[in-house]
Amino acid sequence: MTVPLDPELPDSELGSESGLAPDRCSGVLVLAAGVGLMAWSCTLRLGSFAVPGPGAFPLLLSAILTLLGTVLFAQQTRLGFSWDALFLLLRKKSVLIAVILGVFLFYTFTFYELGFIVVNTVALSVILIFIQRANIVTSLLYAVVLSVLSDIVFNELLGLRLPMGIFQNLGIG
Amino acid sequence: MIWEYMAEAFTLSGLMYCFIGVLTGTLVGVLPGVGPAAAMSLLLPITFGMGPANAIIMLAGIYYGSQYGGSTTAILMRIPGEAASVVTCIDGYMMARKGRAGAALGLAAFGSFFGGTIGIAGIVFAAPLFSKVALAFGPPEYFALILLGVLLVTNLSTDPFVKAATMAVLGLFAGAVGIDLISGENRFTMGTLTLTDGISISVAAIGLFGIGEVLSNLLDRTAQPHVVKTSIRSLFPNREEWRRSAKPMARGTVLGFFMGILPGGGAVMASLTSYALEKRLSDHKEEFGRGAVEGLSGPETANNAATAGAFIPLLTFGLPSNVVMALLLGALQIHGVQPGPAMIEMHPHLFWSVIASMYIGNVFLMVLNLPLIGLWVQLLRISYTLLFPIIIVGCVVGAYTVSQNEFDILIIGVLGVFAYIMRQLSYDIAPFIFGLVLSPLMENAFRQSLLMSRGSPQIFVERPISAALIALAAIVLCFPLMKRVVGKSST
Repeated sequence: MTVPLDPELPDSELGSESGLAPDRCSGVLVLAAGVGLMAWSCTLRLGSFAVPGPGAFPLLLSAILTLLGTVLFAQQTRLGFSWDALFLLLRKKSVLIAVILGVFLFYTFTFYELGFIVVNTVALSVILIFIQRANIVTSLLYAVVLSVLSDIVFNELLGLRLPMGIFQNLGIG
Repeated sequence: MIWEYMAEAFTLSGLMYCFIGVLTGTLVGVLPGVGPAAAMSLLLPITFGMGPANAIIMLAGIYYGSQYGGSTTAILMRIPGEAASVVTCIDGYMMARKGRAGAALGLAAFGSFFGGTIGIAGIVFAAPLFSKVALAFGPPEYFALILLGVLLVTNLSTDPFVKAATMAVLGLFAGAVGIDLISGENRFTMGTLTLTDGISISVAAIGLFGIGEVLSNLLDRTAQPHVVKTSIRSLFPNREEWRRSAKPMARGTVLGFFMGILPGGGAVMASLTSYALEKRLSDHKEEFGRGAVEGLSGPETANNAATAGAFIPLLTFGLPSNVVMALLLGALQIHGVQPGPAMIEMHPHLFWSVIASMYIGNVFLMVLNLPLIGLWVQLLRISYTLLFPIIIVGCVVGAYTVSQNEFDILIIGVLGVFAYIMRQLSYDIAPFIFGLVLSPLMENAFRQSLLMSRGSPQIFVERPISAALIALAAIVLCFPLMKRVVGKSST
């Protein structure tokens, strides 16, 4: 489903790059972020005007963020507040975004244990198959070849030390 | 004396890194969806093993090389390979459609060479002068200058002011994560050691520009671009095209150089302003949008002159004027070099060898670009399915090798998703990274100023330079409001 763009709005208000919907909800998110960060900054020592503490500058920034969020919220309310942009984004892309985040979590928590070649092969295969919808065999083959070649280039030629993981445990490499 | 300092650029390694830089730059300029910021952040970890001069020579080469390469896709495909080539898409592409693709590519390459070379000469003369001015700057002046820079970047963003300002403030806040350098206290680290040193500029750039770009292309399924079918008979423009290009190139050089110096200016604004100027001054106004030579040669010259001009605030004040310069600042700091007023005196070899390398790089680009245009066109036909896994591998390896910390890989993933979502909601990412880089400098200048004045904010308006900069910042801040008021009253 696509939402028709509002011809009355200036180009800058016409919302998302992929044309999902015009953004008329982000002001609330910015406002919430500003208030949250203000509260977080207040947990730090604020100091005085003469000797500002570590929390002073972040508090000032979060106060400005809150103000910007309020202005955005007011603008978006005037135009007709709507969660469409965020809901459509989440509905259409949440699974893909979750896959991407899952891939990076997998990279992070298995990088040392499994090693660069294995982790990279699995991660690239998942992205190629589930997001790019490429052929399974071709994807696996390309992921393996690219991972091995990358390992040779980065480890052997450029001297960057990427983890060997299970290959090291098996006495290879 | 200067020639001795420049010698490092003429060594075999200096020439090699310059060549790699401009070649990579041209490649990322040619390929849509891979910008110089992403390429520089990917290659930053590789520079750790090099000396600072070679590292900066290579990274600078990527920046100005990308300006050359960006014009190829703009002329042949009507897709700006690089943001500064947006206006080249208009008349450059129309020239190609009229069968003048070769001449358009030749004019773009020659204009880039001319603008870049004269711009570098401008650095040689202007940088020492700016360094002397910068010596008069104390913490209040630095704070006011950074504030002005942030506001200008925000104002010149393609997005609404409030949204761009939001991203800049979020970036400034992200820059406050980690140990507070004055008190030594941890801030916003959530108890993790990974965030104690703050969010690394190169890791953030890899996530926001590298992974963010890949996600935009993957999730929005950008169509494979088509190259215009035209024969490239000769890359040399005819006499009439040369004649019509001479003045736009001269104007573009001067305009571009000064726009490059301005905070937030850079190549994009220079090329847009040059296009508007040429359209106003041209005797062939009716041809604009239909293949006007002036609409190609002026902006192409201006964006390369701006690239050179942008080095001045970085090298003399230690302040980046755009995102790419912010990454170069990060690279210099990683290599233990703090750019600023004393840089020319403290690191003359580095300063002058980078300048010399830019001359060499411009010659390389001129020699490289014209014969290799056929190859670049072939590269454009590579499927993105083959290209994006290579970019992801580069991002992952690049992030990991910054500090051999696997959690940096998670940070690039999270920042990539953040960049994607914010883009979908029409938030520009550039002010965020600009804020992230400038945050420590701005906070230090702010707190030192208050310490100096024993808590009186009047220090920012009592000193003349600081007061003038604050006044300029106030004008810039009020500009969107004034524009809206003027717009409403005229309708």
